[in-house]
Amino acid sequence: MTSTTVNNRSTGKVMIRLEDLTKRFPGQKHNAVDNLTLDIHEGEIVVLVGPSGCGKTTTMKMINRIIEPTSGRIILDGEDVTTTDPDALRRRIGYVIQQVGLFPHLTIGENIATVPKLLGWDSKRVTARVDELLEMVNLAPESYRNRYPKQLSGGQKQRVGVARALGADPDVMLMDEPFGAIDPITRDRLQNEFLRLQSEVRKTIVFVTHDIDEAIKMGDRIAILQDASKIAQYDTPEQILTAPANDFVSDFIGNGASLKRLNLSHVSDIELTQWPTVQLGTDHDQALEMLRRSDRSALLVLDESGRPRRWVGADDLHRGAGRPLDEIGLPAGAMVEPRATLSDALNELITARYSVTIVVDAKGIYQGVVDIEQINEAIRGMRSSAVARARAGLAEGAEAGSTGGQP
Amino acid sequence: MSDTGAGVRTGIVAAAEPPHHRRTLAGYLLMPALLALVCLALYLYVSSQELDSIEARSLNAASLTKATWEHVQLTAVSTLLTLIIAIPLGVLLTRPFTRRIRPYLLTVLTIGQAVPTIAVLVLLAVAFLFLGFQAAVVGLVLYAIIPVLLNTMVGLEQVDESVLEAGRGMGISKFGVLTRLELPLSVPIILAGVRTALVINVGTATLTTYINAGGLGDIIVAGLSTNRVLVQIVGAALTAVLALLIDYLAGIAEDFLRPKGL
Amino acid sequence: MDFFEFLINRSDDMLELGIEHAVLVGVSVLLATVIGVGLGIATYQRERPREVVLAITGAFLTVPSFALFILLIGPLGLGAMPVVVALTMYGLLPIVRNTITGLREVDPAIVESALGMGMSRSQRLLRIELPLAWPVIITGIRVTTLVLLGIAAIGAIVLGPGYGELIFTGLARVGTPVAVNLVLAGTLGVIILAVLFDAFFYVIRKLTTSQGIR
Repeated sequence: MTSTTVNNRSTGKVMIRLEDLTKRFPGQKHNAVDNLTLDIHEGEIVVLVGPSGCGKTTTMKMINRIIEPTSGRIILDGEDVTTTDPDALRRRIGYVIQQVGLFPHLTIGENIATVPKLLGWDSKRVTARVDELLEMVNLAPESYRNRYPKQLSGGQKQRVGVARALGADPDVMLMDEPFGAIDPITRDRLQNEFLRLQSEVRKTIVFVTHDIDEAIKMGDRIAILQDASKIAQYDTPEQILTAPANDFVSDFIGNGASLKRLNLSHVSDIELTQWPTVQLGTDHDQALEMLRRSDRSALLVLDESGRPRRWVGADDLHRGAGRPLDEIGLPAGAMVEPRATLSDALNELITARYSVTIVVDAKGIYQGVVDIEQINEAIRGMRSSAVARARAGLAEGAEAGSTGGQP
Repeated sequence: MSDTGAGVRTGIVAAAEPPHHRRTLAGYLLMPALLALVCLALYLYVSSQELDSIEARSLNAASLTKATWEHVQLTAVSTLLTLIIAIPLGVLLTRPFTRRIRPYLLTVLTIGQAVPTIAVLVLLAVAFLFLGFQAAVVGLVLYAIIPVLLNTMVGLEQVDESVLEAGRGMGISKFGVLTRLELPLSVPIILAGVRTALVINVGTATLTTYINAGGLGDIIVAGLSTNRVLVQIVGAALTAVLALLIDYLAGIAEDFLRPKGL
Repeated sequence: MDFFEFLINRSDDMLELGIEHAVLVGVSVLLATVIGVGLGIATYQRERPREVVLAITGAFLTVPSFALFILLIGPLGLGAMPVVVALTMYGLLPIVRNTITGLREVDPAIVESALGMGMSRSQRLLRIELPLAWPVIITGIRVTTLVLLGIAAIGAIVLGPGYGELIFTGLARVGTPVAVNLVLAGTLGVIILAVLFDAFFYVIRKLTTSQGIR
């Protein structure tokens, strides 16, 4: 189950602690953020998600004090930074916003070099760091270093924005809807690239979005916020999907919760069903006999190296007597690899001829199949284990991090 | 040429940005109160002085009123003519057929602003021996056309292309797009042009005394030629008061005539 | 006398007056730039001060130059001083206005990311905001210069230096053949200076504006 990987990823050390954080803007009756307490563990992506106006962006901007809190404390890596020099604080924190905000009069290289230069790095170190970061975000340094922002596409600008935020290798990054202004296809690619990058750099990241799907995809933990940044639930994506803490959370997740949950489990997490297979070149009588003994309506034909080739049913074997097995029946489609999500598997399954998805390894060799029963079972399993964990969590009382702010 | 647009090149882009709120009542009264105070102080000071006969010849109600009235007439007539010429010309010069030469035209016009007003007036006098009220009006108009023309052209160019396209898309004719969309949307800029013309003309009209066309310049020059400082100061101060008053009135007109929602 | 002969005869005069005129305007523009950009920086973020500064510099520009020159004789006497002061006052509005507009037009997202990266107030202003506003500011300076070149000619009334002298001498000799030549020469001189200044600012703008925002 992926929830265990969350725990593996985090060292358990609290990197950012927000204590009773409150913000009231001048001239307003209500607090924009009201008495928020939240722990963010080192190396995790914590997503703040909620409807517009819930205070999620204000909350994030109080961490680097672009918005100064009215009361409460911000503790970064054990140090109270609520009243320290804000510029020094910000140089320790990477910052990515939706509009990117690249400096148009500076080259890409100069943009990325901004914070290292502010910190007084020598020019050799800065140049090396710029190239390293450009490589990291998949932009060839020699061709991008000296370009200006206006020469880049939206997706490229966002990559540079991330590279710039990583400039001085900060421990913490704040990202405010970083992929919000990008077309869906590019967004998906950037999200995947970013997750791969994060698996290398292991930053502590606070990520703001209004899109629950993005939150589920990106977050190690998700804080669902309602008015004035009240935490409706702060937990792993699995727990939030399978055991929503209250109606607000269920409503916010929406109808597709079960389907969304399938994004969290991988084919490799479940035990595959075996389907009767037959080697190419087996004679028809023998194949018919195998089919009769199985309770299935077709055999899966594998080639010499074990790759799926065709589906053949009894009818095909009768009618196509004398012809080789790879010329009768139907071609074997609907294949996924073990690292695919159950959602991918379900997608393939729906369009497949025999209502199963074939699982093959990276070389294309047959591993087993996934059918609808297994997917159902996986959903049930997730739900009951989540409920059990939720009960255990309640019984243990307010364990730091997972229940903070729950009503 | 730059891609920042003609507005920035000519430097009048900012004129199109009006204050975001209407002035308060106190705000409206501040300027006239200030000007009245200046006039009062001037009057009290002049009354307290023993005037010699030369000073008395300039500093009396009749001659001051005459000079002021001439000044206002010069300003009004030349402003009207300036607008009649410059705005249609501005419309004409922003039609598509001028697209290629427009940046150069704008540059030439901008540089043309450097031609000294006094040179225009004096040239009329010395080259054509053209003097008096009519000569003065010609000179004033010649000089004021450039800024108003620039204002109009930049204003029309700034009208949002998409609005015009939507207009054409709805089947409004080219002429209709101009009269029903472009001009109304450019009203703030045209109003600013009117104000510019007024301010320039009221200033330049001070110099028309040199070509025998009267105006408040008469008082100043009378003071200069007779070496009477008091007369110079009264003339200059009245000129400044009149200019600020006209600009103030034009500003109010701008506030009220600007279409709502712009 | 033919106008070109006249120019050749008077070429020394033309050059000397040209240098005087250019220095007069150059000094005034420099002063107006320092004061104007300073005022713009000081006020662009707050509405009230911004409007007050624009109203006052706007009023300066409204006072007719003839009147202003005369009023400045009292405190400053005759010669170059009242002209420089008057020209500086006239030059303020376009420069202040363009400075404010330029700084206010900088994309807030850019300023926010500069803030988020830990740039101090002065670093943001010097490294980000002013370079981005610069093309608009220098356009204001350029327009100011062109307008001041023309107004400077009127400064001859208070015995200011420059081409105005030729124009007023011409006026004094109205009816004589040399009058037209004198006025034309003065006018031509100002126009040549205007073209030179314009070219100068074009080059300066090219050289000082980043390729990224051109």
